[in-house]
Amino acid sequence: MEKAGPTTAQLVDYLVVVVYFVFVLGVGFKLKKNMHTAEDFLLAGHNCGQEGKSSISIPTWVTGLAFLSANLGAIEVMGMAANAAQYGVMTAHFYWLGAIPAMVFLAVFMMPFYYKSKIRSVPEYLRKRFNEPTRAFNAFSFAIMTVLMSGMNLYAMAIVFQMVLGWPIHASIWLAAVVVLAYTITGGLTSSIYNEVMQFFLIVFGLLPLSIMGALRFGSWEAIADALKAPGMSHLWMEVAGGSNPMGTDMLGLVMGLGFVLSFGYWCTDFLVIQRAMAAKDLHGAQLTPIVAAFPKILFPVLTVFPGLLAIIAMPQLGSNNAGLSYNNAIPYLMAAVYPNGMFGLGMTALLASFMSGMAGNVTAFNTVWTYDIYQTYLAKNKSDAHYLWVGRAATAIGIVISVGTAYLVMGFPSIMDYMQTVFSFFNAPLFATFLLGMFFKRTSPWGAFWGLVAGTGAAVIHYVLCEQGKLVYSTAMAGNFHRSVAAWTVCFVVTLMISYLTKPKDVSELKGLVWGVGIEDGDDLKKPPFLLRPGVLGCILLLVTIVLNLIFY
Amino acid sequence: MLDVRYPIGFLFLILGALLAIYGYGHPATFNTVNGPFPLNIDVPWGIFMFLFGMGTVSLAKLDEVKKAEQEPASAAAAIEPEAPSSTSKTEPTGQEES
Repeated sequence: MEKAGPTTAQLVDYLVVVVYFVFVLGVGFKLKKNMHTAEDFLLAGHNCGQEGKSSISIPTWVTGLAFLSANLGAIEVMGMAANAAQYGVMTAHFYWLGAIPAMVFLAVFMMPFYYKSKIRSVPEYLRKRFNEPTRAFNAFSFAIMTVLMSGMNLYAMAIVFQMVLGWPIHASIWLAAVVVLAYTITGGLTSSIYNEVMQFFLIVFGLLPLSIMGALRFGSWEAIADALKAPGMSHLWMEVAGGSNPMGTDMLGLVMGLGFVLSFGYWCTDFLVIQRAMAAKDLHGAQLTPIVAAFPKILFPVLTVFPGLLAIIAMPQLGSNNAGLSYNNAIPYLMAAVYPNGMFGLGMTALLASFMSGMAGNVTAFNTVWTYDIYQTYLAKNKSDAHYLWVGRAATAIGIVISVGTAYLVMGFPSIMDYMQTVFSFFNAPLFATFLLGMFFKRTSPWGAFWGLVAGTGAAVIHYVLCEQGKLVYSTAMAGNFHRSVAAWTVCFVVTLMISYLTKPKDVSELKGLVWGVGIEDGDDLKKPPFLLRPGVLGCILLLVTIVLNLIFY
Repeated sequence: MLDVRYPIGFLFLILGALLAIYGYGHPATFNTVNGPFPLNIDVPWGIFMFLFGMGTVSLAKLDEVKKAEQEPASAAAAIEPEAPSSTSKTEPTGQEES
């Protein structure tokens, strides 16, 4: 598998990158003529129930792959590979314990509320279900989170291109920012979704040969497990009970923290992914979107975890404190080690695509929340649609500029994944408790939700400060993130319940279509899809496959 | 509205051809469990990508042809039931005249 020396970029590699840029920008400009209204631009034509208003109709397979690809940024590709190099096969828990069950839950139980309540964003659901302060708190915290995550993708891209191609870090950041700006400001969410689908295939084609070549090199999984030496590196559950596993986490942190709070918190409440599902042409399409995404997602460890394992075998000197050979760079190092020119350019382009899709996803979610939940709500009500379209475009540009600033923040974290899970434990973990109680318990009151959310986020901040001061110690940063999310979720859940019983809940008539069992079936004139296409049935198949994979890699 | 399969298909047609042609001119080997293997990954992977691109464009084209075939039929079906009402519309009313 190894060559004489690392590959360096040649003309053919640059050509691959240029061809990709031409297509990405071409899609944005081609879709520009479809952007007539703010809803076309910000919501890809999902016009909240006003039939026939938009010319945009996106097929379910496209929204499904975009749903998957929006999450396929630096986190997924470089972060998961870095995690696998550091923690071994246990990284697959992010998929087989976390993502798949959460995506099934979203499709079957939560998407009907999101889609049928005719909301334009997740914060808007919180306003309808609870009150304005809860929406405001979530809108502002989400806006902060998206630019923090967007900056992470920029930073990841810059370090790859500096390391592999020798490009200056600042030039890489600005080049990527300008390209993403060009295609999101012209074609809006639709352009972002279309490019995410293109990027999905590019990522698969760019990364899959790494795994194929690794499989050919070692011949069997047993040979790879032997090369990994520590048994915990090649097993999902074997060393979890004792807590002496490479991830340094216990059963509570893993199952409750990762499997429940962080994963469900991300997949079920993060507007970045929900927005893709809501762009579907009807409710069935919206429900199938996470399901369509979950099928390839099950196999994604082949593209991310497996190369991370190969990298630590090939380069045992990788480490979080090793500036020259950081875990974060596991994939680019491996590409330079095994890909010849041509394929090397494709691999680099796949990384570029992954960062750009991750960044564009965050920016398009940011511009929607900014325009509808902050600008239209607090700064300029009752303006014309053309005005909000202009604001949406301006928010896109400003979001990208702020992302450039946040890119430099990420540099202080040991690994991309640690940074990301830290951000999620602050914002998504408590929010999931709010949604769970809001959607499934009608006694939850508006002020209960608001103070629960504030208390949960506050708990995450306190936990983080205690960790930073050394008063709370975990064996790895990841274990700390899992426990922080459990603490934030629990505090939010308990405080929400307590204050809900002390304050007045909303009248049942106001909760129609927003809470489980309160009129969600009313007006559902969709005929039932064929048995095998029902979200529940497909969800059961997905869960079954996930259980089998957990048993195989026990 | 743009069919996303066209840009995807054409992108992989171009990238696949680029990789396959470049790889053909630059032979290489890589080590497998059974020893060195005299194949540059660029060639098979480029061909695979090229075929994927062809398949994607063909599917988009096929759908376009199907839609074009259905359009005259659906347009005719749409005109048929409206015929009586359109006739009735031709009857002058006071409002139209005014």
